[in-house]
Amino acid sequence: MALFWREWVWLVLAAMVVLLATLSSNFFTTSNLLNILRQVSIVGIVAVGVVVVLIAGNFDLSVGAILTLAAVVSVQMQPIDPVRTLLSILAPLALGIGVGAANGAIIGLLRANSIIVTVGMQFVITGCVLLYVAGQHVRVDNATPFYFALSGGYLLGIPIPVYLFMLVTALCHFLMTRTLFGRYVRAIGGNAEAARLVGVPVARYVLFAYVISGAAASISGIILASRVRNLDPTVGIGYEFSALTAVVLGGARLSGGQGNVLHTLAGVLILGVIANGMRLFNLPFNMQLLVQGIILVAAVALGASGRVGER
Amino acid sequence: MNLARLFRQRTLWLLIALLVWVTLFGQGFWTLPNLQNLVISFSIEGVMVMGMTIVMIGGGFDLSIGSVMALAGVIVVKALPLGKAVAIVLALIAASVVGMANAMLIGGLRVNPFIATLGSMIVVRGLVMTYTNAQPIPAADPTFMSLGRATVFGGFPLPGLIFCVAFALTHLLLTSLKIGREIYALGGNEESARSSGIATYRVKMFCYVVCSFSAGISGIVLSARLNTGSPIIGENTALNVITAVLLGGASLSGGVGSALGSLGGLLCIGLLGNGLNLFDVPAYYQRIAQGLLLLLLVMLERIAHSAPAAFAYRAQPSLDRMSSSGGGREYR
Repeated sequence: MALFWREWVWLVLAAMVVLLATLSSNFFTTSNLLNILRQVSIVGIVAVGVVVVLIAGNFDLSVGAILTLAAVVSVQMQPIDPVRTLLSILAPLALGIGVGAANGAIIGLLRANSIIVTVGMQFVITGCVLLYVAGQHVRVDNATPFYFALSGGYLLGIPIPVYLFMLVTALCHFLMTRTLFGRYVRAIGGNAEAARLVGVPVARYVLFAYVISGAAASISGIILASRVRNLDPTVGIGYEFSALTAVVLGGARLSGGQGNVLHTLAGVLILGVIANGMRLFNLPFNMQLLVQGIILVAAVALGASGRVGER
Repeated sequence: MNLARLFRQRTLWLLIALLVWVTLFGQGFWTLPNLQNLVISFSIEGVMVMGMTIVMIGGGFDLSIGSVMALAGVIVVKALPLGKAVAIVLALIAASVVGMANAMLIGGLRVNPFIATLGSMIVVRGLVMTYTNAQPIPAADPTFMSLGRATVFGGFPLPGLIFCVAFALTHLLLTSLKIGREIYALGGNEESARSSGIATYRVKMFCYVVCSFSAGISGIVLSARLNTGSPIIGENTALNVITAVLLGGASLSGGVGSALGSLGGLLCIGLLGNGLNLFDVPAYYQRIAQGLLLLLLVMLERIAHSAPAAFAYRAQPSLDRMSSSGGGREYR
């Protein structure tokens, strides 16, 4: 029974898959399932970063802005030859890590409120990005095949972004469950003062958590840039909320200390399956927004009233 | 509020500095058209700043106001054929219903206010988008426009007057009414508020309904100004409004803040934006400046908090209570 409650997100996901598979013959096909996986990988990578920060007891609302920054910079590096391709991967990654470190330094060292700091950071970054490109679209033509493959490539029949998503998820899951980092981050999220008193370097580990979330958001940005290659500089708006929705669906506790990377993966997949199902039935995009919101509210209301998904 | 305490308000100093800055360097700040623009630009958000002040003093949070604006704006335009008064009442009822739903989730089911209102933000936006098919609706009644564009007393914009009324009511409510005391008590410590006999659920209901109601008013005024019911208005509103309230001395953990302080915060952001406009600075810089202001504010607050008493200007129950550090209260 305990196992049942602990893994309820997976059950919800399975129920949805079964439901959609019986309702539509187009759903349970290899190509459609791979399609879902590919579509969720961008928001999924962001969500996996966000959950690490959330377990440490903090919010990161700047991930949408970091994603935009990474995507725009990646395209602006014009990956038309091997050197520039390398640059258009490394530069956004470095920026994402830098912004994450700045967030983490302000929040960890000064113990400032994470919502305010990351919202402020979001304003600063989106402003800088718009200024950098003068509010115009940015585009790259003749990108190298390697750059293109980051979003459009396949390996053994599975899209490359899915590998990247799984890699980041596995890495974060390993970090959170098998290393000192994970132990410390959980301790900080559970009770920062207690963690400090037993000798956990709180500021440093909060900073690490934000670096992970910044890096994850910039990886998503690079994949997005590789897929679109003609970018609106406001492309990442709202990703922070989608990611947070997935994280909350995955049962992470908002006050920190509890949360699971694999459950976040399930949350991401649930959102992806819903979006896909609605598309299969030709429901308009706006309706998808509505359903996503209702599911979020229902999940937290259920979680709050029955304490489902905790422990 | 006595004078000595007023002078310790950082918002006031910031405001004076900004005023000096725009007066000295801004070309044409003290001209009627610019002042009218300034008043209009902060009035519409200002009404919501007042509503948000009430929610945040009560220890809450409301991300859904931008979507509620769009909801009220679309409904009022759609219902115009029934008569202006009926349309406005319908829109305000719809807005209040969202507030009630928020309060039920937060007060009744004890959902974290951040997530509850994030959910209602998405749901309401989805409703509005589905209802309008993401298309703006032109207003059928030409006299409706005057609500957003008319002036009173020889040049004072009508939205400004609406804001003044909202401010006066909020100030009165927070300083002189019983419900105001109860809101401070609720935000200060919910458990002790409950054990001292305050009906906390009812107070929460009041806060969220007032906040949504204020967003409804703003949505109606903005629609009147645009002469259109647009489903996409208010996308960044919640964060802007919360910035102004925080700048005005409120905290995310509740219990502190005032209508006067929030007015100061609102004016600071308004003046900053207006000043940058006067210098022909691209709009993008305004966003950066606003973000830096927020970061600077929170950093100063924390540095002052950890510095010796001589440097601490006002011992505020600080912003960190909801964050990771310092035994934060359990949010759910």
